[in-house]
Amino acid sequence: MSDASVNTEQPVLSSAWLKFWFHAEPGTQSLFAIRVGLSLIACWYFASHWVDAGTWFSANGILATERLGDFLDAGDLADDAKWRVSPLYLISSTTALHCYLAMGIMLAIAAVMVRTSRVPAILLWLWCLWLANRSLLIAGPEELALVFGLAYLTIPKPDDTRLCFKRGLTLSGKARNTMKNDLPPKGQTPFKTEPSHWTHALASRLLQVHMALLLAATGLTMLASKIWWDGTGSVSIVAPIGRRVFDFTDLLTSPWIHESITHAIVVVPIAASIMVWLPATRLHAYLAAMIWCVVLALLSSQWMYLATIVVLLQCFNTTSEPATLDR
Amino acid sequence: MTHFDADGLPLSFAVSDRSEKNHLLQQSTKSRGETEEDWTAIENSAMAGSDRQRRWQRFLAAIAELGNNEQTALAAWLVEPLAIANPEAKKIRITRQPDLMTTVVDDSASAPYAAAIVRQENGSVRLVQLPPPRMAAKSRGEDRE
Repeated sequence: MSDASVNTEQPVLSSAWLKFWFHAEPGTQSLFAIRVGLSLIACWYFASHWVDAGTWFSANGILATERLGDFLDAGDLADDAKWRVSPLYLISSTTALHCYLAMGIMLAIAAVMVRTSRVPAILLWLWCLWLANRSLLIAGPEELALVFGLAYLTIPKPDDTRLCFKRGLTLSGKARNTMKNDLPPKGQTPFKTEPSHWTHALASRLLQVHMALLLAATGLTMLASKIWWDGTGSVSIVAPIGRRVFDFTDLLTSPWIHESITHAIVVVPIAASIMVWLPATRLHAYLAAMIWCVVLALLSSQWMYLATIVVLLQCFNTTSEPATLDR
Repeated sequence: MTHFDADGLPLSFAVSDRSEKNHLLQQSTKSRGETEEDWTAIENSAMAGSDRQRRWQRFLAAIAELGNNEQTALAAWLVEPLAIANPEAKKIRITRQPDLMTTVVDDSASAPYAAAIVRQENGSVRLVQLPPPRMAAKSRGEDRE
Protein backbone atom coordinates (compact mmCIF):
# COMPACT_ATOMS: atom_id res chain seq x y z
CA MET A 1 0.00 0.00 0.00
CA SER A 2 1.40 3.37 -0.96
CA ASP A 3 1.78 6.20 1.56
CA ALA A 4 -0.77 8.25 -0.30
CA SER A 5 -3.47 5.75 0.43
CA VAL A 6 -2.88 5.71 4.18
CA ASN A 7 -5.89 7.21 5.84
CA THR A 8 -5.85 8.50 9.36
CA GLU A 9 -9.50 7.60 9.96
CA GLN A 10 -8.80 3.92 9.41
CA PRO A 11 -7.95 1.74 12.37
CA VAL A 12 -4.69 -0.15 12.33
CA LEU A 13 -5.70 -3.63 11.33
CA SER A 14 -3.29 -6.44 11.84
CA SER A 15 -5.08 -9.60 10.86
CA ALA A 16 -6.13 -10.42 7.32
CA TRP A 17 -9.63 -11.15 8.58
CA LEU A 18 -10.07 -7.65 10.00
CA LYS A 19 -8.51 -6.07 6.93
CA PHE A 20 -10.90 -7.98 4.72
CA TRP A 21 -13.95 -6.63 6.49
CA PHE A 22 -12.92 -3.19 7.65
CA HIS A 23 -10.09 -1.84 5.53
CA ALA A 24 -11.29 0.57 2.85
CA GLU A 25 -8.67 0.44 0.13
CA PRO A 26 -8.13 3.16 -2.47
CA GLY A 27 -9.98 2.26 -5.65
CA THR A 28 -12.65 0.31 -3.83
CA GLN A 29 -15.92 0.78 -5.66
CA SER A 30 -17.99 3.54 -4.17
CA LEU A 31 -21.47 2.48 -3.12
CA PHE A 32 -22.88 5.58 -4.77
CA ALA A 33 -23.65 3.86 -8.08
CA ILE A 34 -25.37 1.02 -6.22
CA ARG A 35 -27.31 3.52 -4.13
CA VAL A 36 -28.58 5.31 -7.24
CA GLY A 37 -29.46 2.02 -8.94
CA LEU A 38 -31.34 0.63 -5.94
CA SER A 39 -33.16 3.92 -5.42
CA LEU A 40 -34.38 3.80 -9.03
CA ILE A 41 -35.54 0.22 -8.55
CA ALA A 42 -37.25 1.19 -5.28
CA CYS A 43 -39.15 3.90 -7.22
CA TRP A 44 -40.10 1.26 -9.78
CA TYR A 45 -41.19 -1.09 -6.99
CA PHE A 46 -43.45 1.45 -5.32
CA ALA A 47 -44.85 2.62 -8.66
CA SER A 48 -45.62 -0.97 -9.69
CA HIS A 49 -47.93 -1.27 -6.65
CA TRP A 50 -49.81 1.95 -7.45
CA VAL A 51 -52.64 0.60 -9.63
CA ASP A 52 -53.37 -2.51 -7.57
CA ALA A 53 -52.72 -1.22 -4.04
CA GLY A 54 -56.43 -0.90 -3.28
CA THR A 55 -57.29 -4.18 -5.02
CA TRP A 56 -54.89 -6.09 -2.79
CA PHE A 57 -54.65 -4.26 0.52
CA SER A 58 -57.72 -2.05 1.05
CA ALA A 59 -60.56 -2.93 3.46
CA ASN A 60 -62.42 -4.77 0.68
CA GLY A 61 -59.23 -5.95 -1.01
CA ILE A 62 -58.23 -9.49 -1.80
CA LEU A 63 -55.60 -9.48 0.97
CA ALA A 64 -57.46 -7.24 3.43
CA THR A 65 -55.93 -7.44 6.90
CA GLU A 66 -58.92 -9.08 8.58
CA ARG A 67 -59.38 -11.64 5.81
CA LEU A 68 -55.68 -12.44 5.74
CA GLY A 69 -55.67 -12.87 9.54
CA ASP A 70 -58.61 -15.27 9.32
CA PHE A 71 -56.88 -17.16 6.51
CA LEU A 72 -53.67 -17.52 8.53
CA ASP A 73 -55.56 -18.61 11.63
CA ALA A 74 -57.63 -21.13 9.68
CA GLY A 75 -54.51 -22.57 8.10
CA ASP A 76 -52.54 -22.54 11.36
CA LEU A 77 -49.99 -20.36 9.57
CA ALA A 78 -49.91 -17.46 12.03
CA ASP A 79 -46.57 -18.62 13.49
CA ASP A 80 -44.94 -18.62 10.05
CA ALA A 81 -46.10 -15.09 9.36
CA LYS A 82 -45.47 -13.54 12.79
CA TRP A 83 -42.18 -11.90 11.73
CA ARG A 84 -43.77 -10.21 8.75
CA VAL A 85 -44.29 -7.02 10.70
CA SER A 86 -45.65 -4.01 8.85
CA PRO A 87 -47.66 -0.90 9.74
CA LEU A 88 -49.46 -1.40 6.43
CA TYR A 89 -51.64 -4.01 8.15
CA LEU A 90 -53.21 -1.06 9.96
CA ILE A 91 -53.93 0.86 6.75
CA SER A 92 -57.06 -0.03 4.80
CA SER A 93 -57.76 3.13 2.81
CA THR A 94 -56.64 3.20 -0.82
CA THR A 95 -55.76 6.87 -0.51
CA ALA A 96 -53.55 6.17 2.51
CA LEU A 97 -51.90 3.32 0.61
CA HIS A 98 -51.18 5.66 -2.29
CA CYS A 99 -49.71 8.19 0.15
CA TYR A 100 -47.44 5.43 1.47
CA LEU A 101 -46.27 4.61 -2.05
CA ALA A 102 -45.73 8.28 -2.90
CA MET A 103 -43.69 8.73 0.28
CA GLY A 104 -41.67 5.67 -0.69
CA ILE A 105 -40.80 7.24 -4.04
CA MET A 106 -39.82 10.49 -2.31
CA LEU A 107 -37.66 8.56 0.15
CA ALA A 108 -35.92 6.81 -2.74
CA ILE A 109 -35.01 10.21 -4.18
CA ALA A 110 -34.01 11.53 -0.76
CA ALA A 111 -31.75 8.53 -0.12
CA VAL A 112 -29.62 9.67 -3.08
CA MET A 113 -29.84 13.42 -2.61
CA VAL A 114 -29.53 13.70 1.18
CA ARG A 115 -26.26 12.24 2.35
CA THR A 116 -25.71 14.14 5.57
CA SER A 117 -27.68 11.56 7.51
CA ARG A 118 -28.46 7.87 7.48
CA VAL A 119 -32.15 8.59 8.13
CA PRO A 120 -33.39 8.63 4.48
CA ALA A 121 -31.54 5.38 3.71
CA ILE A 122 -32.91 3.65 6.82
CA LEU A 123 -36.44 4.91 6.14
CA LEU A 124 -36.27 3.77 2.51
CA TRP A 125 -35.15 0.31 3.63
CA LEU A 126 -38.01 0.12 6.16
CA TRP A 127 -40.52 1.43 3.61
CA CYS A 128 -39.59 -1.36 1.17
CA LEU A 129 -39.42 -3.99 3.93
CA TRP A 130 -42.87 -3.10 5.26
CA LEU A 131 -44.43 -3.26 1.80
CA ALA A 132 -42.69 -6.58 1.13
CA ASN A 133 -43.96 -7.92 4.47
CA ARG A 134 -47.49 -6.76 3.65
CA SER A 135 -47.34 -8.48 0.25
CA LEU A 136 -47.95 -11.92 1.73
CA LEU A 137 -48.62 -14.51 -1.02
CA ILE A 138 -47.69 -12.10 -3.80
CA ALA A 139 -44.08 -11.18 -2.97
CA GLY A 140 -41.15 -12.78 -4.77
CA PRO A 141 -37.38 -12.71 -5.12
CA GLU A 142 -37.31 -9.07 -6.23
CA GLU A 143 -38.35 -7.96 -2.75
CA LEU A 144 -35.66 -10.13 -1.21
CA ALA A 145 -32.83 -8.66 -3.31
CA LEU A 146 -34.06 -5.08 -2.99
CA VAL A 147 -34.50 -5.25 0.78
CA PHE A 148 -31.12 -6.79 1.60
CA GLY A 149 -29.36 -4.41 -0.80
CA LEU A 150 -30.98 -1.38 0.84
CA ALA A 151 -30.16 -2.77 4.29
CA TYR A 152 -26.43 -2.80 3.50
CA LEU A 153 -26.61 0.76 2.19
CA THR A 154 -27.65 1.97 5.63
CA ILE A 155 -24.22 0.99 7.00
CA PRO A 156 -21.77 3.48 5.37
CA LYS A 157 -21.01 6.65 7.23
CA PRO A 158 -23.08 9.37 5.52
CA ASP A 159 -20.32 11.95 5.09
CA ASP A 160 -18.25 9.51 3.16
CA THR A 161 -20.85 8.78 0.53
CA ARG A 162 -21.89 12.43 0.38
CA LEU A 163 -18.35 13.23 -0.72
CA CYS A 164 -18.61 10.62 -3.43
CA PHE A 165 -21.92 12.10 -4.51
CA LYS A 166 -20.56 15.62 -4.83
CA ARG A 167 -17.48 14.43 -6.65
CA GLY A 168 -19.57 12.26 -8.91
CA LEU A 169 -21.98 14.92 -10.04
CA THR A 170 -19.82 18.06 -10.09
CA LEU A 171 -22.62 19.77 -11.88
CA SER A 172 -21.98 23.46 -11.80
CA GLY A 173 -22.12 26.56 -9.69
CA LYS A 174 -21.68 26.48 -5.97
CA ALA A 175 -21.17 22.76 -5.63
CA ARG A 176 -18.40 22.85 -8.24
CA ASN A 177 -16.67 25.78 -6.58
CA THR A 178 -16.89 24.55 -3.04
CA MET A 179 -15.71 21.07 -3.86
CA LYS A 180 -13.11 22.07 -6.40
CA ASN A 181 -10.22 20.84 -4.32
CA ASP A 182 -11.91 17.51 -3.72
CA LEU A 183 -12.33 16.64 -7.38
CA PRO A 184 -10.44 13.61 -8.62
CA PRO A 185 -7.66 14.11 -11.19
CA LYS A 186 -8.76 14.61 -14.78
CA GLY A 187 -9.58 11.34 -16.46
CA GLN A 188 -10.30 9.47 -13.26
CA THR A 189 -13.77 8.03 -12.86
CA PRO A 190 -15.47 10.25 -10.33
CA PHE A 191 -17.28 7.44 -8.49
CA LYS A 192 -14.09 5.59 -7.71
CA THR A 193 -13.09 7.84 -4.87
CA GLU A 194 -11.17 6.79 -1.82
CA PRO A 195 -13.49 5.64 0.90
CA SER A 196 -12.33 6.97 4.20
CA HIS A 197 -14.29 5.04 6.76
CA TRP A 198 -14.40 1.43 7.80
CA THR A 199 -18.21 1.33 7.53
CA HIS A 200 -17.86 1.83 3.79
CA ALA A 201 -15.56 -1.19 3.55
CA LEU A 202 -17.86 -3.27 5.74
CA ALA A 203 -20.92 -2.49 3.60
CA SER A 204 -19.01 -3.33 0.41
CA ARG A 205 -17.75 -6.60 1.82
CA LEU A 206 -21.15 -7.64 3.11
CA LEU A 207 -22.63 -6.94 -0.30
CA GLN A 208 -19.86 -8.87 -2.05
CA VAL A 209 -20.19 -11.89 0.24
CA HIS A 210 -23.97 -11.85 0.05
CA MET A 211 -23.97 -11.60 -3.75
CA ALA A 212 -21.44 -14.42 -4.08
CA LEU A 213 -23.62 -16.58 -1.80
CA LEU A 214 -26.75 -15.64 -3.74
CA LEU A 215 -25.14 -16.60 -7.06
CA ALA A 216 -23.88 -19.88 -5.62
CA ALA A 217 -27.25 -20.67 -4.03
CA THR A 218 -29.07 -19.91 -7.27
CA GLY A 219 -26.84 -22.22 -9.31
CA LEU A 220 -26.77 -25.00 -6.72
CA THR A 221 -30.54 -24.89 -6.23
CA MET A 222 -30.93 -25.49 -9.95
CA LEU A 223 -28.99 -28.73 -9.64
CA ALA A 224 -31.81 -30.13 -7.51
CA SER A 225 -34.11 -30.25 -10.52
CA LYS A 226 -33.60 -32.62 -13.43
CA ILE A 227 -34.56 -30.02 -16.02
CA TRP A 228 -31.21 -28.32 -15.42
CA TRP A 229 -29.42 -31.61 -16.06
CA ASP A 230 -31.33 -32.77 -19.14
CA GLY A 231 -31.05 -29.43 -20.92
CA THR A 232 -34.69 -28.37 -20.86
CA GLY A 233 -34.34 -25.73 -18.12
CA SER A 234 -34.31 -22.81 -20.53
CA VAL A 235 -37.44 -24.14 -22.26
CA SER A 236 -39.17 -24.43 -18.88
CA ILE A 237 -38.43 -20.76 -18.25
CA VAL A 238 -39.92 -19.57 -21.53
CA ALA A 239 -42.79 -22.11 -21.64
CA PRO A 240 -45.47 -20.10 -19.75
CA ILE A 241 -45.69 -17.61 -22.61
CA GLY A 242 -48.77 -15.97 -21.08
CA ARG A 243 -46.44 -14.57 -18.42
CA ARG A 244 -43.60 -13.50 -20.68
CA VAL A 245 -42.94 -10.29 -22.60
CA PHE A 246 -41.01 -12.10 -25.34
CA ASP A 247 -41.81 -15.49 -26.81
CA PHE A 248 -38.56 -17.38 -27.37
CA THR A 249 -40.14 -20.79 -27.80
CA ASP A 250 -39.37 -20.91 -31.55
CA LEU A 251 -35.76 -19.89 -31.00
CA LEU A 252 -35.24 -22.64 -28.43
CA THR A 253 -36.63 -25.50 -30.52
CA SER A 254 -33.14 -26.47 -31.62
CA PRO A 255 -31.73 -28.88 -29.00
CA TRP A 256 -28.18 -27.57 -29.08
CA ILE A 257 -29.41 -24.00 -28.48
CA HIS A 258 -31.65 -24.72 -25.50
CA GLU A 259 -29.23 -27.25 -24.03
CA SER A 260 -26.29 -24.83 -24.33
CA ILE A 261 -28.28 -22.01 -22.75
CA THR A 262 -29.53 -24.31 -19.98
CA HIS A 263 -26.07 -25.46 -19.02
CA ALA A 264 -24.68 -21.92 -19.23
CA ILE A 265 -27.45 -20.68 -16.91
CA VAL A 266 -26.35 -23.26 -14.32
CA VAL A 267 -22.58 -23.01 -14.71
CA VAL A 268 -22.23 -19.21 -14.79
CA PRO A 269 -23.56 -18.39 -11.30
CA ILE A 270 -21.70 -21.26 -9.65
CA ALA A 271 -18.42 -20.42 -11.38
CA ALA A 272 -18.86 -16.66 -10.94
CA SER A 273 -19.45 -17.00 -7.20
CA ILE A 274 -15.89 -18.33 -6.88
CA MET A 275 -14.15 -16.49 -9.71
CA VAL A 276 -15.14 -13.03 -8.47
CA TRP A 277 -12.70 -13.54 -5.58
CA LEU A 278 -9.73 -14.34 -7.81
CA PRO A 279 -7.80 -11.37 -9.25
CA ALA A 280 -7.18 -12.93 -12.65
CA THR A 281 -10.77 -13.90 -13.30
CA ARG A 282 -12.79 -11.33 -11.43
CA LEU A 283 -13.55 -9.09 -14.41
CA HIS A 284 -14.57 -12.06 -16.56
CA ALA A 285 -16.78 -13.44 -13.80
CA TYR A 286 -18.39 -10.05 -13.27
CA LEU A 287 -19.10 -9.64 -16.99
CA ALA A 288 -20.39 -13.22 -17.31
CA ALA A 289 -22.74 -12.66 -14.35
CA MET A 290 -24.04 -9.46 -15.97
CA ILE A 291 -24.71 -11.27 -19.26
CA TRP A 292 -26.35 -14.10 -17.28
CA CYS A 293 -28.74 -11.55 -15.77
CA VAL A 294 -29.61 -10.06 -19.15
CA VAL A 295 -30.27 -13.47 -20.73
CA LEU A 296 -32.40 -14.60 -17.80
CA ALA A 297 -34.33 -11.31 -17.79
CA LEU A 298 -35.17 -11.76 -21.48
CA LEU A 299 -36.19 -15.39 -21.01
CA SER A 300 -38.07 -15.12 -17.71
CA SER A 301 -39.37 -11.51 -17.81
CA GLN A 302 -38.29 -11.15 -14.16
CA TRP A 303 -37.13 -7.64 -14.91
CA MET A 304 -37.14 -6.15 -11.45
CA TYR A 305 -35.34 -9.01 -9.75
CA LEU A 306 -32.60 -9.26 -12.35
CA ALA A 307 -32.21 -5.49 -12.61
CA THR A 308 -31.65 -5.48 -8.84
CA ILE A 309 -29.05 -8.23 -9.19
CA VAL A 310 -27.30 -6.25 -11.96
CA VAL A 311 -27.13 -3.21 -9.68
CA LEU A 312 -25.87 -5.24 -6.72
CA LEU A 313 -23.23 -6.94 -8.87
CA GLN A 314 -21.59 -3.52 -9.21
CA CYS A 315 -19.98 -4.26 -5.86
CA PHE A 316 -17.54 -6.43 -7.83
CA ASN A 317 -16.85 -3.75 -10.42
CA THR A 318 -13.76 -2.45 -8.68
CA THR A 319 -10.28 -1.44 -9.66
CA SER A 320 -8.82 -2.30 -6.28
CA GLU A 321 -6.74 -5.35 -5.57
CA PRO A 322 -8.56 -8.68 -5.21
CA ALA A 323 -10.84 -9.07 -2.26
CA THR A 324 -9.19 -12.11 -0.78
CA LEU A 325 -8.46 -12.90 2.83
CA ASP A 326 -4.77 -13.66 2.34
CA ARG A 327 -3.67 -10.17 1.42
CA MET B 1 -37.92 -15.82 3.12
CA THR B 2 -34.40 -17.24 3.03
CA HIS B 3 -31.38 -17.01 0.78
CA PHE B 4 -32.64 -20.03 -1.12
CA ASP B 5 -36.23 -19.08 -1.69
CA ALA B 6 -38.53 -16.13 -1.34
CA ASP B 7 -42.02 -16.87 -0.13
CA GLY B 8 -41.57 -20.44 -1.27
CA LEU B 9 -40.51 -19.37 -4.75
CA PRO B 10 -37.07 -20.83 -5.42
CA LEU B 11 -34.36 -18.62 -6.89
CA SER B 12 -33.69 -21.28 -9.51
CA PHE B 13 -36.17 -19.63 -11.94
CA ALA B 14 -37.70 -22.95 -12.98
CA VAL B 15 -38.04 -26.47 -11.68
CA SER B 16 -40.83 -27.32 -14.12
CA ASP B 17 -43.45 -28.03 -11.50
CA ARG B 18 -47.13 -27.27 -11.78
CA SER B 19 -46.92 -24.03 -9.83
CA GLU B 20 -44.91 -22.49 -12.67
CA LYS B 21 -47.66 -22.87 -15.21
CA ASN B 22 -49.78 -19.98 -16.32
CA HIS B 23 -52.96 -19.92 -14.24
CA LEU B 24 -56.31 -18.62 -15.36
CA LEU B 25 -59.22 -17.50 -13.23
CA GLN B 26 -62.47 -18.46 -14.94
CA GLN B 27 -66.15 -17.98 -14.22
CA SER B 28 -69.34 -19.56 -15.46
CA THR B 29 -72.69 -17.81 -15.38
CA LYS B 30 -74.60 -21.08 -15.60
CA SER B 31 -75.75 -22.75 -12.41
CA ARG B 32 -75.68 -26.24 -13.85
CA GLY B 33 -74.95 -28.24 -16.98
CA GLU B 34 -72.23 -25.97 -18.28
CA THR B 35 -69.74 -27.04 -20.95
CA GLU B 36 -66.10 -25.98 -21.32
CA GLU B 37 -67.24 -23.17 -23.61
CA ASP B 38 -69.31 -21.64 -20.82
CA TRP B 39 -66.22 -20.89 -18.76
CA THR B 40 -64.85 -17.44 -19.51
CA ALA B 41 -61.61 -15.99 -18.22
CA ILE B 42 -61.74 -13.18 -15.70
CA GLU B 43 -59.02 -11.08 -17.24
CA ASN B 44 -56.49 -9.13 -15.25
CA SER B 45 -55.57 -5.85 -16.89
CA ALA B 46 -51.87 -6.29 -16.16
CA MET B 47 -49.50 -6.63 -19.10
CA ALA B 48 -47.86 -10.01 -19.68
CA GLY B 49 -44.52 -10.18 -17.93
CA SER B 50 -45.21 -7.13 -15.77
CA ASP B 51 -44.75 -6.99 -12.02
CA ARG B 52 -48.50 -6.62 -11.59
CA GLN B 53 -49.18 -9.77 -13.56
CA ARG B 54 -46.47 -11.67 -11.69
CA ARG B 55 -48.15 -10.85 -8.37
CA TRP B 56 -51.54 -11.93 -9.75
CA GLN B 57 -50.05 -15.19 -10.99
CA ARG B 58 -48.40 -15.88 -7.62
CA PHE B 59 -51.75 -15.40 -5.94
CA LEU B 60 -53.54 -17.76 -8.35
CA ALA B 61 -50.72 -20.29 -8.01
CA ALA B 62 -51.12 -20.21 -4.22
CA ILE B 63 -54.86 -20.97 -4.54
CA ALA B 64 -54.19 -23.73 -7.07
CA GLU B 65 -51.61 -25.27 -4.77
CA LEU B 66 -54.05 -25.22 -1.85
CA GLY B 67 -56.66 -26.85 -4.10
CA ASN B 68 -54.23 -29.56 -5.16
CA ASN B 69 -53.35 -30.30 -1.55
CA GLU B 70 -57.05 -30.64 -0.72
CA GLN B 71 -57.00 -27.50 1.39
CA THR B 72 -60.13 -26.25 -0.33
CA ALA B 73 -61.46 -24.45 2.75
CA LEU B 74 -58.30 -22.36 2.83
CA ALA B 75 -58.46 -21.80 -0.92
CA ALA B 76 -62.04 -20.57 -0.45
CA TRP B 77 -60.79 -17.83 1.94
CA LEU B 78 -58.71 -16.44 -0.89
CA VAL B 79 -61.24 -16.94 -3.70
CA GLU B 80 -64.12 -15.33 -1.78
CA PRO B 81 -63.24 -11.68 -2.62
CA LEU B 82 -62.89 -12.65 -6.29
CA ALA B 83 -66.37 -14.16 -6.23
CA ILE B 84 -67.78 -11.03 -4.58
CA ALA B 85 -66.09 -8.84 -7.18
CA ASN B 86 -67.78 -10.77 -10.03
CA PRO B 87 -71.49 -10.67 -9.12
CA GLU B 88 -72.68 -12.39 -12.31
CA ALA B 89 -70.55 -15.50 -11.70
CA LYS B 90 -72.34 -18.66 -10.57
CA LYS B 91 -69.22 -20.80 -10.53
CA ILE B 92 -65.56 -19.98 -10.34
CA ARG B 93 -62.42 -22.00 -10.96
CA ILE B 94 -58.69 -21.78 -11.45
CA THR B 95 -57.10 -23.71 -14.30
CA ARG B 96 -53.58 -24.24 -15.57
CA GLN B 97 -52.87 -23.43 -19.16
CA PRO B 98 -51.04 -26.07 -21.17
CA ASP B 99 -47.62 -25.14 -22.50
CA LEU B 100 -44.58 -26.68 -24.17
CA MET B 101 -43.60 -28.61 -21.06
CA THR B 102 -46.98 -30.13 -20.21
CA THR B 103 -48.05 -33.59 -21.30
CA VAL B 104 -51.48 -34.77 -22.44
CA VAL B 105 -52.01 -36.20 -18.96
CA ASP B 106 -51.20 -32.82 -17.38
CA ASP B 107 -53.52 -31.01 -19.78
CA SER B 108 -56.43 -33.34 -19.11
CA ALA B 109 -56.21 -32.94 -15.33
CA SER B 110 -59.18 -31.29 -13.69
CA ALA B 111 -59.01 -27.70 -12.43
CA PRO B 112 -57.07 -27.46 -9.17
CA TYR B 113 -59.88 -25.44 -7.63
CA ALA B 114 -63.51 -25.12 -8.73
CA ALA B 115 -66.46 -23.98 -6.66
CA ALA B 116 -70.11 -23.03 -6.98
CA ILE B 117 -70.98 -19.63 -5.55
CA VAL B 118 -73.89 -19.31 -3.17
CA ARG B 119 -74.77 -15.65 -2.73
CA GLN B 120 -76.35 -14.44 0.52
CA GLU B 121 -78.78 -11.56 0.78
CA ASN B 122 -76.29 -9.45 2.74
CA GLY B 123 -73.84 -9.55 -0.19
CA SER B 124 -71.51 -12.18 1.26
CA VAL B 125 -70.86 -15.44 -0.55
CA ARG B 126 -70.29 -19.08 0.30
CA LEU B 127 -68.24 -21.32 -1.90
CA VAL B 128 -69.15 -24.96 -2.37
CA GLN B 129 -66.45 -27.07 -3.92
CA LEU B 130 -67.39 -28.70 -7.20
CA PRO B 131 -66.52 -32.38 -7.58
CA PRO B 132 -64.04 -33.20 -10.36
CA PRO B 133 -65.82 -34.07 -13.62
CA ARG B 134 -66.56 -37.75 -14.04
CA MET B 135 -64.99 -39.68 -16.88
CA ALA B 136 -67.43 -40.39 -19.69
CA ALA B 137 -68.01 -44.09 -20.27
CA LYS B 138 -70.24 -46.30 -22.31
CA SER B 139 -70.57 -50.03 -22.65
CA ARG B 140 -68.56 -51.86 -25.30
CA GLY B 141 -71.81 -53.26 -26.61
CA GLU B 142 -72.81 -49.78 -27.79
CA ASP B 143 -69.67 -49.55 -29.92
CA ARG B 144 -70.48 -52.78 -31.69
CA GLU B 145 -73.95 -51.56 -32.52
